Amino acid sequence: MKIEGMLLISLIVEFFALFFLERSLINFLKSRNLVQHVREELIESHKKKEGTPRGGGVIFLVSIIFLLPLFFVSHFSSETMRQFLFVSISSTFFGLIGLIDDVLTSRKSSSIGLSISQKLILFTIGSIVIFFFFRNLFTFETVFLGFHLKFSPFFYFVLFIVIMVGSVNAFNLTDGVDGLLGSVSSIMLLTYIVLFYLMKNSLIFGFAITLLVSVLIFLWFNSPKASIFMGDLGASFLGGAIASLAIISKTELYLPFVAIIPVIEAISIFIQIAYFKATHGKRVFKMTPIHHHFEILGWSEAKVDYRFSIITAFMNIIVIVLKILGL
Amino acid sequence: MKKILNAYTTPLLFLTVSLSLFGIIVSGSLSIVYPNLILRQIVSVILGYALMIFFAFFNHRKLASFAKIAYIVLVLSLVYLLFSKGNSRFISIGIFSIQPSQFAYIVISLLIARIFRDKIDEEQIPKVYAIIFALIVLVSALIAFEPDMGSAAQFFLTGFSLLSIIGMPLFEFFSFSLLSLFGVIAMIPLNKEWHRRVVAFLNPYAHASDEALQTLQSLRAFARGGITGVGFMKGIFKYPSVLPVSISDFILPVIGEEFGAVFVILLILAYLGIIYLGFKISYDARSIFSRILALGLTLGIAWFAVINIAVNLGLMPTTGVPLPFISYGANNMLANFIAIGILINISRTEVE
Repeated sequence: MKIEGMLLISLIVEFFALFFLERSLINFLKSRNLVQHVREELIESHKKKEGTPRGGGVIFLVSIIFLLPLFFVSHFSSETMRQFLFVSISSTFFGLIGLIDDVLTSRKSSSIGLSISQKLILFTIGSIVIFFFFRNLFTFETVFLGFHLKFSPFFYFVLFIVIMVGSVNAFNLTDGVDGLLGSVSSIMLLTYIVLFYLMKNSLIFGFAITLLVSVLIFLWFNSPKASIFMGDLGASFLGGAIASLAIISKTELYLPFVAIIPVIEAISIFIQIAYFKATHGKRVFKMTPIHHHFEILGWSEAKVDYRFSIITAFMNIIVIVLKILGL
Repeated sequence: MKKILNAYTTPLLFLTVSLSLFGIIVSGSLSIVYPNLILRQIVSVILGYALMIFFAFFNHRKLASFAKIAYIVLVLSLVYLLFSKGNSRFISIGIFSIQPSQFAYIVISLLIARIFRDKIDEEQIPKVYAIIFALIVLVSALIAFEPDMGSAAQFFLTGFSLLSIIGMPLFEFFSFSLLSLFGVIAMIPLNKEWHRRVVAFLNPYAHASDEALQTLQSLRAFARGGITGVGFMKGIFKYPSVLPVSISDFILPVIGEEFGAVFVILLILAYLGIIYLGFKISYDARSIFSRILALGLTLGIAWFAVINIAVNLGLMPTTGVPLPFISYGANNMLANFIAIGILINISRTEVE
């Protein structure tokens, strides 16, 4: 009972603390001129976003602090502690790599930070180090649609890197419309809250809830028309957090369904580039990532948010039902 | 300049060959305890000479195209080691067993030299340093997880000092140093083995029978040897029950006991000479690639020697790295002779 009470108190404190933190962050970032510079080839309606402060994702990082009171009222097993360290260290680590990109972008006052290959190298290095640092934590088996799958350690290692790097990159791509990544990932976090409730893992459950609260606060200010963007820091942090939650809850193979929108965004870019190269200049979509395609078709930003969230919610409900049925 | 013997290579060859011959003499004394050690030492020295001669004539600029592949192979082999069970520092291929961590410093010097060979934009410089730093951290973390703290430290210090010397901006230097310091401190409570070693280092006499045994015995060996030593073959500290690993990581106390402080000081002077010559070759080389490569190889050998001597004198927590050109251990011998071969090639072709 103690732990639930403490969690409730820290969630309420977190809500108000982060609300005022985010609001003062907007003014601080504006005064320091740490603002978004819009890609030049982007559609006309996005031009007005030039100058919106960037770096609202800092509050995701801060939200971990509000989990610390739980340690005063309860003793967690060392297994749970290591799971918590794994989730928080891996998401923080990816967030910090995103921060490098943010700082470089604002310094150079253009829209280009680290190149794609440079980011991939850094993310891969990070996930290799994290894997071996926490290697006693992982069991090399998982349940997918009722099948008990057993991997060889090396295959699981490769899968781990693909999941981590892929999810961080896909989340970065999804971050392009006001409120999109925030609303989509809050639904995913809800799924993991349910899953960890079913697993009776109160610490990781608390982690997902505190993160969800900070995402909601962020959405308050990020809903169209946005007064702050999360930046690469926030997108990479969320990507790392969702991927590591999937690994801890042993739903690695369900992750493409949970994170359906980031997966679709990544696939759309892949199709576009492949088709463009194969046909020497023809395009499948008007513009990728795919949310820009729908914007060009005339959807408003809110409409993109709603419809993408509905798809995510539907897929997440299916995943939750599958897990409750024990598949 | 095409002759193999010039003002740089003659002293370099003299120093390395005499160090390795001295190593054979010491292994003769150790052969009382470890049968056939001297034969194996002779074989690895001869293999080392062969590789040195090969690389002295192989154009080192052609190595640049292997840099990235070599790095990827290094990472893959270290990952393979972490997944394989049993003796986890070596990959055995037939009769050979290869220890990738000993060759790692050559690979990273090659990679850094290859990256800085091309002109880099002013704006790109912080990013390039950050990525190279991450590449260094990856390999040293993989080596440290084996666990092989000594080689990891040698590799990290080589890469980081090379990066610092070739012109890392001050802001990056301080932030990376702070980051690595934080990482090392964070590792101490998490890794039990390391934690015990640091505790034993801080209070050696409380751990005289386990963790600090080697350090204390090594100091006693130096004390027994005195200025001139007890004489060839007469040492007692080479017995494994007295001082474990006296053939590789703790060979210096054996030298100190049998040959005395004079020879230990001569050894240190010889290493200083090699380091001086390597820096001189790097300084006088014409192209950026050769300069950085020569500097990295010299720093690698230097850090091996510094860490080994510091551990033996009780100035550092116990970590095992071999003494270059002297310790038993074919992998280290071959790696160091490859490095010397490349240095000779640079001085032949690049120095006026």
